[in-house]
Amino acid sequence: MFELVVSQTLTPGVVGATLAGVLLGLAIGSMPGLNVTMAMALLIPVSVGLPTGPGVALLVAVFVAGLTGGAYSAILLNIPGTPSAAATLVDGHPMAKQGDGGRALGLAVISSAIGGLLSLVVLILVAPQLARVARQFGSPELFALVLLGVMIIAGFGTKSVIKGLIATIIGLLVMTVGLDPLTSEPRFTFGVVELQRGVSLIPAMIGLFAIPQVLTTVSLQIGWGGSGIATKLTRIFPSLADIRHVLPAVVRSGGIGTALGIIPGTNGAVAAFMSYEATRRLAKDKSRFGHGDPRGIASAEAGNNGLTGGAMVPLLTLGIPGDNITAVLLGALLLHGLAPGPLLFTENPEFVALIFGVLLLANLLTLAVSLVGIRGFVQILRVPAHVLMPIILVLSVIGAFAVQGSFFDVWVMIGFGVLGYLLVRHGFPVVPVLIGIVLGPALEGHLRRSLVIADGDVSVFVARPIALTLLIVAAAVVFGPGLWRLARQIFGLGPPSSPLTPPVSGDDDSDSPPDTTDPATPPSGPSTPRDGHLPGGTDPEDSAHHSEPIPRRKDTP
Amino acid sequence: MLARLNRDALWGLVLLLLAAWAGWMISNQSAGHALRGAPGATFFPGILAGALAVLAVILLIQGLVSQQPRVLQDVNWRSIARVVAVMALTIAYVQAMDRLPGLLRALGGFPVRGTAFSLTTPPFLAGLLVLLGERRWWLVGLLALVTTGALYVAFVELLNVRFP
Repeated sequence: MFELVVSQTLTPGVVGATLAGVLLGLAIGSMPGLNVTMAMALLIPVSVGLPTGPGVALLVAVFVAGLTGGAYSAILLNIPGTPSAAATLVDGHPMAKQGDGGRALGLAVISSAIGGLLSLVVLILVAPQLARVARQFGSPELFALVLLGVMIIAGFGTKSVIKGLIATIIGLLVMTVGLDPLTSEPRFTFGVVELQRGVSLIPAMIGLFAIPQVLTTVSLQIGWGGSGIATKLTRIFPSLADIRHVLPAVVRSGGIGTALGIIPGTNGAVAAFMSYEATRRLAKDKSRFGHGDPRGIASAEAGNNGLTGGAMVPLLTLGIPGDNITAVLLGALLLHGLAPGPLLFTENPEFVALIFGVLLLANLLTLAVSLVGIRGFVQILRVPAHVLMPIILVLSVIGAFAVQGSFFDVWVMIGFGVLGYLLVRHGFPVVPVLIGIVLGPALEGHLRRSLVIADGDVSVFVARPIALTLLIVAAAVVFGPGLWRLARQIFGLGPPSSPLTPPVSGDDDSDSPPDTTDPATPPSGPSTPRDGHLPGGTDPEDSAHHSEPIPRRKDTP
Repeated sequence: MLARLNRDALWGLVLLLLAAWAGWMISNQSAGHALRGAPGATFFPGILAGALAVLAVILLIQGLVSQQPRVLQDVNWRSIARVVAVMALTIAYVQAMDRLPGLLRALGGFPVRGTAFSLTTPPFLAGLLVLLGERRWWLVGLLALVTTGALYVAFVELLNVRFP
């Protein structure tokens, strides 16, 4: 396996694409108003234009580095560049205000790398075993498994399960457009020739993730006018004593992030907040947390980067994306002709080796590039959003056009963009729409194949224990939270008490920076300005009442 | 009447109409020739339309019983105007890029690859920058031209995309 990893990864194309992805990921992750999901959606046309190795490496590297880049603005501006970095600012920004911003950034970057590498080890150990189990599945089990994945994305992390399910069904209905794969009957094509092949995935992804981001940024004037940076960076490399001090927290948090990443539906923000909270609870001296404790930064960053390897486990072994970023990655892999799932490990071990190698390389390059070029990257924070948004719009248009050289795809992208914006604005998550489009063919295919095998008898799904178990879990995911709330009301139980509750962030990780002004966040920590709100499950309408431009930076004492 | 509803109720109503329309489309469509026991082409969309109708009704009821503000209450028209202006400019840009080659040919020209992109992108970028509040004219011009050039090189020269 080691030779395969080396031969697949250490080629000029893959190394170059990984480096480019790391640079882009750090830049994009650090800018409030841009997010990793959107960046990956915009880069898919570029990725598809490249050979498979470099094309996939580019996106994986953006994923890894983007999560690290989010720490820059969290620490220096008190605004998380990505939602995953929201926990980082709790201790990161106080350190920056005390003139220790460089050290805080150094600790964040090193902790991210360690968390990412730990998760890679778990991925390498766990994924092949899980794939071996999943290879025993037949069509009924696979239908139940895909349904579970769809339900998890629809049900978890959204304020309203109903809205999550509606978004999923919209995506599934979109997927049915085109010729039926079994009978070749046209469905919802309206006589339009272009629709017979179905809706193109790339324009849909760009529309769903880039356009709502641009329109929400424009609507709320997020990041308008650029910003100053809170501190000058002096020492960046932390001392050995610093590293010894934070290492236990980093290792523990990397483990927590990885474990959470394996569960589909969790996101980097949840991993970071849970890791932070575990470190705070286990610390003997809790007094510095919220006032610039290095362990707080280290645990948050190790936790959110631990997610990278963990989220790859369900993606590679079951073909189910763990969060919105891996949902976009799944779409990209399908466009490259790769089908993540149980058979991937036996049919395409070269690709599995490539993923392992690129994750390792991306983590190491992110560490090296960050430590060397951190002073340069923080200058990117000065670029105002009103300059970036027009460029993103042009990229969206030409990215959609570039797929097939067709303006029809551009109109599809615009249509999905408007749909995505309306959904986001009214509290519907957009990731389930994408999941519906991406997993819809597998869902319908396994359902119909199962019924063919069973001669039309639907009891095939309850007669097989694994399928039945998966369906019960899927139902529990959807109805469980509501039933749990009902039970709490009936039995008069109060809300659970936790000083640090990760926010429910609709779609996730990169779409909606969590609102750390929530009273559930620690009272001692600094607050995120309102402009931390971006599209996602959080409701931008709440913030839309500002008639004046919102200041980008809020200096909390 | 519709303005009296709140957002969730309005969404519920719209989605219910969408489900009804999808159901009507499916009922008028051939299921195709499927294998014995196999569901036809309309089976899966039919399930989806039914599920959407049920969920839409639940959302409609939730909206009707909730205390949310009405659809047109507390609307930030300035924010909406910015969004509409950006989308209108984008649609005009796409239309211009799509139609320009034909127009140039009609005028007797022979547009080469990338002409429409090169002619329409700088004004679009400049217009958006001004619309979004940038007032430094030198920066507007510089950004419009440099971005157009960089995107042309990246997509046309490096990725071999055929621009209009």
